[in-house]
Amino acid sequence: MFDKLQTIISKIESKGADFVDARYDELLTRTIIKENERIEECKTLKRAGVGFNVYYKGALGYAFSADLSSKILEQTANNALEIAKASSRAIDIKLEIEPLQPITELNLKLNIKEPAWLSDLDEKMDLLKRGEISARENGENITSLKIMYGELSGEKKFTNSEGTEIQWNPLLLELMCIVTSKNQQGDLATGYEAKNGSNGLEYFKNEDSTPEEIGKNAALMAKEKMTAKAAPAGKFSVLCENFLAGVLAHETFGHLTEGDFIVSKGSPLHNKLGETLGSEYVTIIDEGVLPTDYTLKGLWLPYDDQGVKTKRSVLIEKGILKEFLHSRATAKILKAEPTGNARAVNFTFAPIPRMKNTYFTPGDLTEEEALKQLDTGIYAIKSLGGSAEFDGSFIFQALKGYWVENGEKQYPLKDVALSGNILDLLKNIRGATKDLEIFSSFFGGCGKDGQAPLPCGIGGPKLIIDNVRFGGEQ
Amino acid sequence: MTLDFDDWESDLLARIERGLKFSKSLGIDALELYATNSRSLNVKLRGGMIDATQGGNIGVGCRCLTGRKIGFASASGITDSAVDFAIKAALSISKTLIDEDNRWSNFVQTSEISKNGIIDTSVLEISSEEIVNGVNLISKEAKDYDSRISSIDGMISVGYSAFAVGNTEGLAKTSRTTFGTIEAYILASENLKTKTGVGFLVGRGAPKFEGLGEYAAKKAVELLNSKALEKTSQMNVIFNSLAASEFMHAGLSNSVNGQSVIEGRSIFAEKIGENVGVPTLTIYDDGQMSGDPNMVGIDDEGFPRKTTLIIDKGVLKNFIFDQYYSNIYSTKNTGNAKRSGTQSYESLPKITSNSISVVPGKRKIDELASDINKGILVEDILLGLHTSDPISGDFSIVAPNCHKIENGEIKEPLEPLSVAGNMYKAFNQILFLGNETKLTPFGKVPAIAFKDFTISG
Repeated sequence: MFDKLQTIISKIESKGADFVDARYDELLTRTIIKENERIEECKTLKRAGVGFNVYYKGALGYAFSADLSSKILEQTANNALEIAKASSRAIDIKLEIEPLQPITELNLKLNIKEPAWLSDLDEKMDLLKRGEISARENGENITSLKIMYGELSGEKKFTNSEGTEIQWNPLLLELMCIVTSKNQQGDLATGYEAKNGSNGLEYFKNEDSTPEEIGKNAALMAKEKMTAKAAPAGKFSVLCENFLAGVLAHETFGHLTEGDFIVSKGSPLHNKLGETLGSEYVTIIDEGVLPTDYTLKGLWLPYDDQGVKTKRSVLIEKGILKEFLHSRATAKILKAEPTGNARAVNFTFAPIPRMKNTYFTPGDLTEEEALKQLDTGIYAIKSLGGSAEFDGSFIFQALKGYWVENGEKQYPLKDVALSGNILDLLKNIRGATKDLEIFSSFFGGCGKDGQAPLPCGIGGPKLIIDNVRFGGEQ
Repeated sequence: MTLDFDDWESDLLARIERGLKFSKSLGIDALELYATNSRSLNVKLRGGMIDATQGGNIGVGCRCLTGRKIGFASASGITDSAVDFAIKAALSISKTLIDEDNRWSNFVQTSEISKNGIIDTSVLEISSEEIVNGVNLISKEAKDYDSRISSIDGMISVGYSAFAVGNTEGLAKTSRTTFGTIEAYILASENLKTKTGVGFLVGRGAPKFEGLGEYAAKKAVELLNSKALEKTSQMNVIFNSLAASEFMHAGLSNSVNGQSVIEGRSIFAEKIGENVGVPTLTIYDDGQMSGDPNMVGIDDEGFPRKTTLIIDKGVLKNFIFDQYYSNIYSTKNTGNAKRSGTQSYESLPKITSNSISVVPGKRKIDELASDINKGILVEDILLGLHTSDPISGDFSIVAPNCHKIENGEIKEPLEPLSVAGNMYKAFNQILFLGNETKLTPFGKVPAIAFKDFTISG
């Protein structure tokens, strides 16, 4: 494949292209979804194709094909050149790249024991069954029990005009359980738990990530929410649980550091490098290969989709904005180093600046100390996501919460919706716990410009934040 | 060899028929093949950067039964080897499974047909150069309108697609569509404040670029004068057509979905024939909306698309179904099976709302606020709607584009507000509906005024 792609790259260069890269993705995903003990979905997907980025006089064209014959691939690369030529007559900002030393890296492996793609379907079915049994045992008045298993494997090859050749095998695994319970008034309450990461099936043998634990936690959350009160509306202090802190790091802050939003000045952070944006408790990292204790819990991403080795980017350090996330082109425009953040969901999309594993670094409090320090407010836990605007405003829903008074949890809350502007929020963070947790979902993932779901790691400690607006009822 | 778009349907059908023959040779009990081919040109504008992508999604998905055990597999490409991979992988799953699905009955069997949408060949002819020029026009109009325009983001998508479905019940059908859409987000900035104006266009032909940049720029600039509301209270809220269409679509996507009804996740499960909304509320799920790029003749299982009455004068009439759940519920299939995503061949068909249409009311657009004493007008963007709870219906969103309503008049713009309530109770909180609709990505819905949402800002 490398030879075939190199031949095409040379041909397109001879037609005037300034730089060409070619990416071959062959991804295999397996998913099993059961609802109320019935198999709703059991599927295997194979997706293979090639995408070409062609740079021409400051413009970039992308074209892709699932047909891998040499003739069609060459035609595809030509299409990319043609649209780059059309765009070159209309651009305000030039997309060019600085040369990089060629890399040859063909033997990247992650140290896992039981690769999911080599094990039998029966084994995965067993995980689901154990989760279901545990959820039924621990739940109450369950109207719906959904349990999902997903695995990603495959191979990525990359080569370019510089002669770089990279080959590696992405992987991701998840087991998720969603339980719905009905209370006496007929209201429905939802509980959720998931364990995931770039891991082998041995992960589900760890004490805190067995299928039993996952099913139980989802069922208990639904049960507790059956009697939860609606969160009050107004401004309160909040203790943000680890996953929710991760959603904050990714959705509300991380996107604003993506190089394309910086270059276009669409991000309010575009002219704020070196400025103090947050309190001393705010340090946010974005990296492709996490430190050893966390490597397998997050997303393993050694290279981006432009063949750049992923870097540990310190986005914000003790409140000060330090760095943005780049593709090769945005790095050149802003005179920065590429950070390995050019990513695409699959070969049908051009790589654009996206996050890797984005997380708040931990502090030194225990959960108990954090609640004491919170004193009165809302303990907001987990989330099914959120969204943010270019101006920094955001909203996201916590899955559940507790009303806290005098440092103690009083009663459970449902429909906890937090909103505000990230630039205000970062200043109001006044403490962090010492437990760092990282999550990387197979079923979830990030959405940008119609490219979704892109696997991303998120995480953090628990954060104490003042003056957060809550929606909900009065 | 590149085929003409006119030949795509017969090509896909031939590949499916070959696949069905191959499956027969493997002794398969029951099988369905879905194959699709599409081409699109997407031009994205971010600030002064242009990102253009061209390509085709092409692939095959296979559902295969061994007894009542169902396997699914897909492959990119529609070559014989891709089709055979999908068939063999799906067969291997169905053979490995242990539990039978006792509710399974059969794949779609019907000779009935519905209308195909108009094929607008202008999308076949438009060049990447013309689209790039269109992007430039949007950008120029916006910048010429006001010097405070700071950034222009947008996406233009033009293309065409065809798909075919065949199964061992003897069904073999195809349909196709053409599309041209624009979304433009124009940002205006002043004194550290940034506001977004939205312009959009949805259709089946090459999009018209004129006027869109100026329209969205005007909206963004006007919002720069926004003031904070500084209070939390219950207020009447008007959603304009785009905001209302997104809101009503979200309100129906789970509640009237036959799967949610049967699996215990719908609040409307037991409410057919009951009042669930005000008497002025009539809603259709419309798989046959003319001009809508989502309109095709068949759904993704090959069943004819329908226009289904969901709520008639406030009374809940029907749920939406695919083949599997309509059999379980002993009712008619409504043609709502949809394979989601740009690589639709990778998804199993799932019950999904088509575009929705809400029957307009009598209120003229310039008199919308006329009898609202104190309230809020929310336009275009509802931030975070997708994170509301689809089961309970509780929602809490942020509306970045709002105006104050006082004594029947639309007054100054407001800083982003949080708006909370319950989507299902909202059907009974409707005060009135506007008399105009425009095709949005969610369907055709007029402006709608709701009583007493919780506003905080």
